[in-house]
Amino acid sequence: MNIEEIEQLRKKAALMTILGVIIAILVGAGLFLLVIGIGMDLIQASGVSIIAGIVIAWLISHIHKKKFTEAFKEKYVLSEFNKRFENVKYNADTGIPGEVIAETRMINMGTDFEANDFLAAEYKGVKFVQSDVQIKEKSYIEINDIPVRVRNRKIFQGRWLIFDFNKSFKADIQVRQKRFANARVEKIKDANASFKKVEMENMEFNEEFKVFAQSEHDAFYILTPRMMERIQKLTRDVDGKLLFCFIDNKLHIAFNNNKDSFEHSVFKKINEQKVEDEVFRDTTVIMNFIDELNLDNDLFRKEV
Amino acid sequence: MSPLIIALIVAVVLVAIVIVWAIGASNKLNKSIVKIDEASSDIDVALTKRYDVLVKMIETVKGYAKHEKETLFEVVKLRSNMTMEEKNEANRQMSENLKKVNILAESYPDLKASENFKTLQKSILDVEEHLQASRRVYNANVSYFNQLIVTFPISIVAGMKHLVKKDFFVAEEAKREDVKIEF
Repeated sequence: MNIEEIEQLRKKAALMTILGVIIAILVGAGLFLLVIGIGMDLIQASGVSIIAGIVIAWLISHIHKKKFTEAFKEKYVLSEFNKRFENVKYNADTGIPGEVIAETRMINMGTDFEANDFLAAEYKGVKFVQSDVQIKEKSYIEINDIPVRVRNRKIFQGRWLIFDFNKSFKADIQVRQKRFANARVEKIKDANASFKKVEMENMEFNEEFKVFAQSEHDAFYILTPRMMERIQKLTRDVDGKLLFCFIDNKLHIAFNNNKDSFEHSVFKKINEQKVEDEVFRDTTVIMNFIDELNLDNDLFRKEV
Repeated sequence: MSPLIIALIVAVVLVAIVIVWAIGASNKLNKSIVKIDEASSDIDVALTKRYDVLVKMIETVKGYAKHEKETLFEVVKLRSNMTMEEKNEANRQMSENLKKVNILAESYPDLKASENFKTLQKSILDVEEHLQASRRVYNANVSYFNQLIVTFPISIVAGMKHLVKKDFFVAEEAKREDVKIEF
């Protein structure tokens, strides 16, 4: 598909979104008057008409938005991945499962989990998976038996990457950049497996990061002076706060950049150069992690 | 209540506070010593692993160099309850032997190309990474302990327990001179 065809899809999706909102407002208003007329109270009537409006708006715009997104991602995102990586498997609609992230016990999983732009590939022989992740915490109170949302807190929005790590280790280790909100270390009841705070010998590193590990030795084994320097460099190169989790011989990297990568608004005209630059930047992040952290160095990959 | 009794109560409370604090400080020092001992054991484990891999490498090299007289390798003695100085010395000797092994391997291309030798070389690298980690853990704990015993007011309790600074486990210095190998 060429850019003109994709632009056509975008315009159609934008139009249908606006149309959907207008119809939703009209139907919502009509429904509101109707249910008031049959005796429902104000709050219940509002709830019913708002929900109906949202459903209608979604139904009208969704299918067109999906067509545009699929075409956009195939042209600009998948092609970039195929240029940079080997053995690419990409699915724009799915992401890393919530259970995989929850198993790390490194982040508050909130009440709502969404993931998309799942990519599994290889770069310089290093296998990895990545996806965009959004975690929210919604809390509700009930008013006249209708749940009303009172709090919608975003816990994490950014990218989650999982790499094969090139050293074998037994203990779980977490390296959290300060002010990476909502990362947590869950206390494990078995005292032998409890996480302890570890102070590294690099004072500057300790100022910027908190390290928790089930084994002090493994923390020092993984976080060599060079590794710490490279992690510090990555924080300067990457937009957003970083979280590193070393678990089951894999390295999870999460960065909280408040952005849903590889997306394009239906209301914004496609500037091809700008889009390509942005996708290139978002893809380069993955390569940088592998290059900077030397993950392709397999000197230590085998057990002694 | 008479002023004398009040003064007595205050004095008793103050003494109790000092005693509780002193017990806490003493426990902190004891815990630090235990952590250093644990880290020291970790070094022993890493040194033993290094020694085992090095022995395998030496045997492999001797297998290829069997037509020459036996290469002189420094005898490394590893035993339990070694002082830090002795561990440093044992580590230094192992590094010397490793250098000799690598120099010898250069003279025997078949040895250098053998899968067994390559595997052992990878193993030694990983073992050395673990040894470095053990060294850094040990030194971090020693540094913390040494800082504790010189910092007022814990230094008072440390002085009463006759605690002294502990030695670090030093990293190997790069040797510039060639190692002499005797056949």
